[in-house]
This record gives sequence, C-alpha cells and structure tokens, in this order.
Amino acid sequence: MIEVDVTLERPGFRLEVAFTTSATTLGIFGPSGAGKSTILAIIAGLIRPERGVVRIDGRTLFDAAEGIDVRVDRRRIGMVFQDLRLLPHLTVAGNLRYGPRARGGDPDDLIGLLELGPLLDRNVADLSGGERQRVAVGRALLLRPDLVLLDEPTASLDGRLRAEILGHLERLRDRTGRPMIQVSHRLGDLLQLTEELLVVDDGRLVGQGRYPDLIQDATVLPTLRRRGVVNRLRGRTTDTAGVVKIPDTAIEFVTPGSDRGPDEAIILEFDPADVALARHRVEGTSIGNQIEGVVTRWTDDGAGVFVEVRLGTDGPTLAAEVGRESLAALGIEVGRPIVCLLKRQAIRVR
Amino acid sequence: MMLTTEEWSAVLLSLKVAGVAVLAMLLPGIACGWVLARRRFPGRSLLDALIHLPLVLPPVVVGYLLLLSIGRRGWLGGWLYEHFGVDLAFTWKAAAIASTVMGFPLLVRAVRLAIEATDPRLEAAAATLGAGPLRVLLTVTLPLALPGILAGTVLAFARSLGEFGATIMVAGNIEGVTRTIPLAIFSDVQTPGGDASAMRLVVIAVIVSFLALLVSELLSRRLVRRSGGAS
Repeated sequence: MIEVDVTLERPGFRLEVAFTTSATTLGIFGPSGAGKSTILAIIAGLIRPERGVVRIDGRTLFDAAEGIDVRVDRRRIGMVFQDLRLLPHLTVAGNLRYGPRARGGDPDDLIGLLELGPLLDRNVADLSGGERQRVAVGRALLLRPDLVLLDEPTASLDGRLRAEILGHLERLRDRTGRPMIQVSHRLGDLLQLTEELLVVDDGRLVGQGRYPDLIQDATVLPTLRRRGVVNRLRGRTTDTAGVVKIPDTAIEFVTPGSDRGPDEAIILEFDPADVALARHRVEGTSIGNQIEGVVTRWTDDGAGVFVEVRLGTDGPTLAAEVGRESLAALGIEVGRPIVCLLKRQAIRVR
Repeated sequence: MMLTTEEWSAVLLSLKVAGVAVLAMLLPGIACGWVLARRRFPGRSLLDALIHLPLVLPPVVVGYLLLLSIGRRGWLGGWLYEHFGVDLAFTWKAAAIASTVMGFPLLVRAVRLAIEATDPRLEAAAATLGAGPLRVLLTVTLPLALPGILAGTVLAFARSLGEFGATIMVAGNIEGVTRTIPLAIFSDVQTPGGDASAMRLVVIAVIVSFLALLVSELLSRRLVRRSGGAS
C-alpha cells in the first residue's frame, strides 16, 4: 500500500498530489515538466516537500505535521535514476554490491536474470547504454527494497535496446514481485509494465486508474492525447507469417510481420485514429483487418470521440477515435455490434 | 655532488618538517575543504577568510602571531610549558607548525575545488543505496576528489619546503635544529665563501620540488584512468 499526499512549493512550480494505491505496479504518466520525477524524488527522500505524508505499507517515511523525515539511506527504497548515476570509480560488481543490504541474500538469481554475470569485473565507463541500464536496475533491486522507483528507464534507449530492457523489467516484476513505481512519458512502456496509471499534468494529479478506464474519462483524455493515445494488445505469432492470434480468443490480426517464429509472444500497438468503425463487414477492400466487436462505452472530450470496443465476445478492448459526426451515422450505442477496420500497416509489432 | 654534514642536516630537517606539516594538516584540511564545498551555515565566509588569511598576510606577520601564541609567554605556549613542560618555540616543532599554517590554505583550496567538482547526484544515488553521510563521504566523495586532494597535498608539501618568513620568526635559524633548506641558503649567502654551499642546496631544493610534482602528476593520472574519468 502506497500513500502519498504532498505539497511542494518551488519558485515557478507547485506540485500538489495525493494518491493511495494497492497496485504492485504503478505507472506515472504525463508530459515533461509535469512533476513525475519530482514525485519519485519525494518518495525516495531526495526532495523534502513543504507539507504532507509519505507512507509505504504503513511505514511512515515522511510526515511534515509529525516532524518525521526518514533519512534517504534508511528508507529502503531502490531508485533507478533517469541518468543512471553509476559510481564511476567502481566496477560493475562494486556498484551492485555497494548497498549494505545488497550483500545479504542470494544475488545470483537477479544477476542471472539481468544477464550481468559476464559484466561483473568491467569498469562501468566501458559499458554500452543497455548494459549500464541493466546495472542500474540490478543495483536498485539487489537492495531488496520495499519499493522500487524507476525514472524513465527507457528514455535513453531506443528500438531493440528499449524492447530488451522492457523485457527484463517485465521478468523482474513477475519473478521478484517487488512493488514498483515507474515514471515514463511513453505510454506504451507503462502499459506493458504496470497495472495502474497515475496521470500527472502541471503538478497536479489528473487521473488514476486502469488505462481503458482513463481513456474513457473526459478529464484525463486531453493529457493522454498530448502524447498520443495508443492501443496495445498482447498476442502470439502463428504458423502464418504476419498473423497474430489474441490468446484465449478466436481473434486474429494481420500485421506487417516480424522476425519472430511461430507461437511467440508479441505486442501489437496501433493508434486509435487508425481504427475505423463500420456497421457491417466491408466487401472488396484493401483493409487487412476487419474485427467484429461490441461497443462498450464512448467518451467525447471536445476534440474527438473515443469509442471503446470489446473484440469478439470476451476479447480485449480497443479504442477507436472517430469524428463526432460519425457517431450518429454509425448509430453508436452501448451494446451495439460493430466492425473495427484496421490497415495492417497501421500496426506496430514489438 | 657531495653535501656537507650541515647541508645534509638542513635537507633532512626540511623533509621532516614538511612531512610532519602535511600529515598534521591533512585531516583538518579535508574536513575544512568539505565543509566549505558542501555546507551552508552562518559564519561560512568568516571561516573561509580565516583559513585563507596566511595566504595574504606577510609570512613574517604570521610567524610573529604564532610566536605570540606558542612562545613560552604566549597563551598556548605558556600553558603547555606550565602543565607539560613542553617548549615549542625555537624547536623543529615550531617550524612544522609554521609550515602547517602557511600550507593549510593551499590544501583546503584544492580539496574544496575537487569536492565541488564531484557530482552531488552520485552522492544522492549512494544514499538511496543505503549509505549514510559518512559512508558517502568516504566511499564516493573522497575517492572521486582524490586526484585534487593529492595535488593539494603536494602543493602544501612544496610550500612547506619553501617556508621562510614565518619559520624564522617562530623557530629561529638554529643550525641542526630549525635551519631548513631556505634558512640554510639564506645563512650561506650571508657568510663569505658560502656561495657554493648555497648553490648545492638550491639544486637539492629544485630536485625535491620537481620530484614531488612529478609523483603527484603520475598518481593523479592513474587515479583519473582508474575512475574512467568523470561520467
């Protein structure tokens, strides 16, 4: 259980957020300068707010009214900094074992999981970007902290390396079960790693909840929209190249293809604006995907309408962004069967 | 080049005085450098000015002030003599104290600059890993500042080797007791026929100073390489 209720006043910036969550993995999303990293720094004890309370699993780390301010080194919170901050005068092993709590327990599992074994004797200055990132993650987790804070763990990486570190983080989450808060301006990363989202904008909490619910919240949508709302589905590759099946359903997507073999996990991403809706299947078209579903809800934030469609009968949901005038033309109402049209080129696979 | 017994004794005494001075100032010098670099408190400017005073005062004035303090009739010297029978003035210890006071600002300045140049974000990272303030200082700040601290130490050592004005005031110029290389050169030049001896000591002074600089340069280069530069 994480409880944060703080106010921070700085010249030209004011942060005022209050949230409670029992989610094991929490994502904080928002534009740059929204105060995402500041929230992490306050939880870690690196920034002292003027007012408020920080409590983790009932342990009070900060309480301005009671005069409680547990020192950074006694908070038992692992932090992965955006700029990593590996200690340059130590080797990889020296960094991993720096924390006093990192020396107890059995680190082999974690070192193996992050594939750090071959790097242990290396100087941190000689590591590649992805390797440095893995060392920073391992260093924080080896402390067996009560909570792990990840500040933009993929910001400095792109393409393959980013997918790689996300995969590592996903395995760590599943294997260690440590509570995690991750900050990112990449919604896709947060959707992969976290079960609950905080949306922050301009030092304020705009929304909290599961992503499909947040998309349907007209007060949150404008903030989400600024970074590009995205649909994200988990699937498995099939024997047919480019065809991806959504597990436990009969739904299949035709994608541009990937380098993966049959029956491997894959993630599909596509923009809501690329999903068109139709009342019936369309004959004679170049569109690769026509997937039937049911309208579950929609929201109009003034800039556009986001329609949530449940695929098949019990499949995942996706969001389609349509013009307001289409709403009436399609006769959108909850429970109405609808067909989602999606070009195969609009799908990004990861 | 053969040195006379008197010249040897001046050389050895100089090394002893400078060595003791550096050892004596190292811990307080690092402490003051760290405090000035990392702490904000009332009176900080005053402390800064006080430490740097010997750098701008005429050395003779510093020597005289020291004499007033540690001489047998001084407030500290008198107390020491009365209770412990210790006499500082006009002994090699007085020379070492003079060197300490004169070299101290150079060491503090170097330490302060070196610590200011280390990244406080690394210290914050170490703290999140569970290191308390003292451990952060010993395992992050000081190791990263080591090349600078080393350079400051060598500078203070070299300054001690060359100390003249304060030393002659508080320790005098007693052969075999307080006559360091600079004092010996001064005496030689005042003595008819002492020019050759003065020149030999000059050569020794140049060699010792040069070696000190060389060693410091090599050490700091190795340290920088080990830490992989700043990153």
